[in-house]
Amino acid sequence: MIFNNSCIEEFTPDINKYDYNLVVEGQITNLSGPYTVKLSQTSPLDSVILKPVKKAQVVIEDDSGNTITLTESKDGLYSTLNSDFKGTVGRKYRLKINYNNNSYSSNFITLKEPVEIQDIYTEVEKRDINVYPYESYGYEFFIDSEDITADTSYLYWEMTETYKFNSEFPIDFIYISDSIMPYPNPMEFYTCWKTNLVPEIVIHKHIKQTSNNIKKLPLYYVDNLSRKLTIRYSLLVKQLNIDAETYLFLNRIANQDNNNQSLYTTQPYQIKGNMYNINDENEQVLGSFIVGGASEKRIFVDRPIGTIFHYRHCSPDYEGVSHLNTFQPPVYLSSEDLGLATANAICFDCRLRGGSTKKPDFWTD
Amino acid sequence: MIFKINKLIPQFIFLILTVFVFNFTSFGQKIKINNIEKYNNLKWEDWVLKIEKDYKLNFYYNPDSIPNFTVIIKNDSTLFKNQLNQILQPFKIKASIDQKGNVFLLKNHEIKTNIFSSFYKKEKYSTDNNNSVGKYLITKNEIITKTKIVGDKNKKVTGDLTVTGVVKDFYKKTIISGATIFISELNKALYSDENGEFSINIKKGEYIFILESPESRQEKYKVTIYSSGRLDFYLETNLISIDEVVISSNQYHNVKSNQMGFENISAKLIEIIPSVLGERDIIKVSLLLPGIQSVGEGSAGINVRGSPADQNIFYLNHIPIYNTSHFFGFFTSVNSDAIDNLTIYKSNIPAEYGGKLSSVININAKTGDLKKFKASGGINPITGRLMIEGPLKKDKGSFLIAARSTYSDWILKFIQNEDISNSKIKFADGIVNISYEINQNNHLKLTGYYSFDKVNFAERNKYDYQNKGLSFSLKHFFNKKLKTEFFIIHSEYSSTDENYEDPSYPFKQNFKINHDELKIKNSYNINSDHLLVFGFNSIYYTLDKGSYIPLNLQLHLPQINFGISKALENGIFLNHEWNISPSISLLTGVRYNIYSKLGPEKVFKYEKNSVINESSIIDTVNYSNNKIIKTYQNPDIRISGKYIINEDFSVKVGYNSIHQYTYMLSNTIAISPFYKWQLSDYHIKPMSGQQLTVGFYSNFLNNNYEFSFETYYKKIKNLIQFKDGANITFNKYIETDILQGDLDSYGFEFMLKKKFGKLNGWINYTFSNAQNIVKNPILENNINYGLPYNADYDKPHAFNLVANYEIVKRFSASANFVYSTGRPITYPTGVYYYSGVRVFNYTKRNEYRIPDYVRLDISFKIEGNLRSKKLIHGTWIFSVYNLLGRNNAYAIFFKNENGLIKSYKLSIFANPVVSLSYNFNLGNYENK
Repeated sequence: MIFNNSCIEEFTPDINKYDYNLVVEGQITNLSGPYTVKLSQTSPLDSVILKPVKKAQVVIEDDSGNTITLTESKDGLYSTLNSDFKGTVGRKYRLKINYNNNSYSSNFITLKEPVEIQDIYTEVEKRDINVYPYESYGYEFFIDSEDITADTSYLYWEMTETYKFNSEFPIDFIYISDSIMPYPNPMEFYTCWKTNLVPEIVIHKHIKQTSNNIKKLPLYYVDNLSRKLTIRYSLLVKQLNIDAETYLFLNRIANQDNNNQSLYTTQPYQIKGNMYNINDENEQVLGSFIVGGASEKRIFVDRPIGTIFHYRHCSPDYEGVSHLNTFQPPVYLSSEDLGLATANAICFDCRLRGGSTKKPDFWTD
Repeated sequence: MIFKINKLIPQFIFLILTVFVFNFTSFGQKIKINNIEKYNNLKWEDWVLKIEKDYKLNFYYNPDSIPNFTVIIKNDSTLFKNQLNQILQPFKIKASIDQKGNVFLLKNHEIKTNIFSSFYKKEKYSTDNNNSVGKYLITKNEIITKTKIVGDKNKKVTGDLTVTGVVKDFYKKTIISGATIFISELNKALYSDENGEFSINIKKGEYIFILESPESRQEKYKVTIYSSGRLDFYLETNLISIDEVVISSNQYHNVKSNQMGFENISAKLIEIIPSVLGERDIIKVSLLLPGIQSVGEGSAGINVRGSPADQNIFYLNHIPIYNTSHFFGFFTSVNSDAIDNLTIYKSNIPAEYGGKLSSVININAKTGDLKKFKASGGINPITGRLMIEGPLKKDKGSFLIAARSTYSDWILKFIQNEDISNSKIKFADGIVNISYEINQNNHLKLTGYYSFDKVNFAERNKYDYQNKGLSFSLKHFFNKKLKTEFFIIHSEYSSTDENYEDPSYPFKQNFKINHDELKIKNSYNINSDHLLVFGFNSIYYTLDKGSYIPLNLQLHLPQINFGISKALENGIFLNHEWNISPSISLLTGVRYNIYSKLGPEKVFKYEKNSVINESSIIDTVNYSNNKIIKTYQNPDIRISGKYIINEDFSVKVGYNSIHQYTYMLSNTIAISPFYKWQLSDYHIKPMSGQQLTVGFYSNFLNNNYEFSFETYYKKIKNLIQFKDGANITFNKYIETDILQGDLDSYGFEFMLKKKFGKLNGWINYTFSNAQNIVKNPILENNINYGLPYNADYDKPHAFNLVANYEIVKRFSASANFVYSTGRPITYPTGVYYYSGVRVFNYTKRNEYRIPDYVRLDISFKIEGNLRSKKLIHGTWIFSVYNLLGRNNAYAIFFKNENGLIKSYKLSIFANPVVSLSYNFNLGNYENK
């Protein structure tokens, strides 16, 4: 009966102070821009919100003194306006920020020769998931890359996923000012495309000595526990050839809490990137400016055949129709098999799930 | 009529000896005491005192066999002996009275005292050249009067004489190490060594020797020394009182010994103190002593006075054990059955030991019985144990074999936690101990040790490791003053870990260390005031630093071979013990270490004053096999002094400096089952430590209570610390992940022991502070921004209570209570997102603490019956670990759940752990 009772329970530690540090997230590659730099502040554990850092001066500078200024396009998001501006392989770049009477900078980092992606492909895979009574089912994405020339290469895959999905119901009617009226375009918000940055950091240190290519390296797994694979799914893989320091930084973020429930944890620590305060080296600036030679490849996959999806579906609410005035507007209705039904607006309007009804330019069906 | 005479009656404590000092008139068997009712209504002990005083009688009996009842005797003018028998009859005690007025009270036995009287006459002045004459009287189960004569009465001698001898168990004839031999007249205490031997320089005369060991009661002898010679003592163990746990070392230890920062735990104590799953564990017991801590349950290793776990060394009969844990540190890899005792030096480490800064822990294995074959064993929910011992040649040589093994991991299946119920454990260990006395001047000893663990932890980690060791020792006495001990020691530890924690990148790693040692230790008794111990030891380390083998072959990941590593550590030492006066003594020791890191090795040289990493390499030097890469030479100094203020109170001061050339490669907070040892090399400097200790010691209430207060300050330089985010698994050039800093540690320890009686035990409180600092002009070479931070295991307040209570014979209870401040922890001071990934921002290391630790354990022990004729004697032990069921925190961790940060507490033993174990030995209780 050793650990029989080994137990995990919620516990609120008494943390009496929080630090507010500048967080930098920026990138330049040899691919076309615009390049963006995101500036934000750390937040306390009990109220995690993105706190954009506004009205900063942000400049990317190369080793021959050329600069390009980034302008704030959204709160805390700074972008290069000139889309002709491109990073050049072999050049060195650094990021400079002026904010709140402080100057921050990264070191100069060489933009490395990109490594070409040979292939991205998928395999159907089942996985056991502890929290669900059933196993998950989905696609594992793999990458092959070849002709890696450097003795040691540090590769980082930044992935962006786009998927097409439908709402549960078309908008047949709308309830406005105590009356139910037919909706002019029932399919208006029925189909959406949603694009996300894959919140996973996948990196790899490649040593040429053993092989000059990468074969079947697992990148990402998408399963049937969400709407992502319900119609058609696309993954854009950006392969960046980065420097050792950035690799180390990303590796630390990727592994930060690999073992925090285990008996044997290492001492946690502050993950430092390549940004520093020019005037005060003791100020803790977080995040990093990434300079990498990049190549991209996109892949499409369709709904896996015969898959049952296990996400939270909307059910039609037939009884609710009798007291529509109690619902938060807009109130939509759909004519279902058993009659008129209502539901939460999110079940009618795919945009409320973060999608866009505009089909992306790259999308092929 | 009452005799009111005898001005010569000495103090009661010396009564026992008066038999031979004064010539008593003979009372004989026919003694009669008139008006005996005048003594009525006194308590037994007072009654005896009064009768002894008034009638010049001397009572001999075992105080435990007769309770302190109220004496009432009717004056019926019968013989005193009959009266005695009558009142003692309920206790099955029979009285015998000899002609000298000695009253012997023995269980079920009457002595034919007329035989004794002739025995006295014949033996009293007999001497036999240089051989001891043990003048003890033996009945079936008791030893009575004790006097000893050494040497030849007629020999003309001047100056110092040397008396050597051995302390043995009277029944088993096994040696007793760590017994105190206190010589009242000289106010001097010495100890029997690990072979039970002692040696003293002394002048001709009569002395009172008071012997005591953790296993036995105090015994007093009158020793008459005529010339140099041999003096052996046979102490009665175990039989005095069943279940009496004699705690700690002994009474003279505390106040009068030269030692400080020293602890001794006997095997008996381990038996009764409650333990997890009933598995007796000597190292877990040591955690109840002041100044000894661990990170938490499930961590290997102990932390002594603020030092990390790798600064301790564990010797099993001189074999160093590089991994002392079974099953994640829940158990110790040495079977407690085979352990005689354990001694810990927390400070004032003798100069014969070097190479570990914090403590030396000697685990002394039992020596086999010299008379007859014996078997014993036990079973509990986890392990089964068996021990066999017996003579190889009667009274000359013996063997002991002890083995222990897990017999099942069925118990894990009952566990709710999936990780655990999916785990498989298997471990075993064994000890073989052979001793042989070739002749009086040459003794041989051979000890073999083996342990292994195979743990499959939820298919995530497969740990597989083993210790092997062998020690051979030959002791030779050149003469009475000089003896030499010669040791050959081999120890090896090897370990592998198959790691599936990251399913995409599974790997396998391994490691092995070989330790080959030669040691010579000489002890030279110059005279009664000067003892020299000198010699050298030489250790040859060969490490296979192992390899990192990726197990996902599809990825073409390279295998990393870390290569081999060798070093030679030599030390010469000299210890001088000087008794300046009976109350002042001084111990000085020096040790000179010469350590050489040897090839083969490829050594990178890095740019000076820069962060050392791949890009700062300026040169590469290849060293061939056994070529010296770097030599470190360091002197160590050990000084301590003792001043006895009065019989019951002393002050001691000590200073130690030590160097350490090995370190543990482990950067987890609790030490995981897989770790490597490394050697100081071209880049990694040896760690050095200094400790200053002051202590006050007192015994009171008839020496039944022992109090000590010790305070220490410790400074360690070149402490090994790992850089933030160090990945020691893959790093072939470990110097790039190591930073060397300082450790400052101080504290004080209160300890109060009650040593005897139905209720015995101890209470201690320790205040301590241990802080690391790693500060460097180069920003990247700082830890915690160069500011001091609490050591991972720092627990400022620690309180332990251990109580054993004998309810009735055969049935006893024991409890311990443990409190300590929670260990330090680093909490995040902010959170942010990078590339969609949530990142915690940590700032100051170990700034916070996990909740305090509180635990109460209890155990009950029931001995089988005490019939003398039976096949098996059994003992049942029922124990409850963590009786309060308190969810003591082991760790606090944070998780991101649907965008919310949640914090959790992980406990290991969240409910009481109940166990029942059975121990047996063939034969009756005596054979235990």
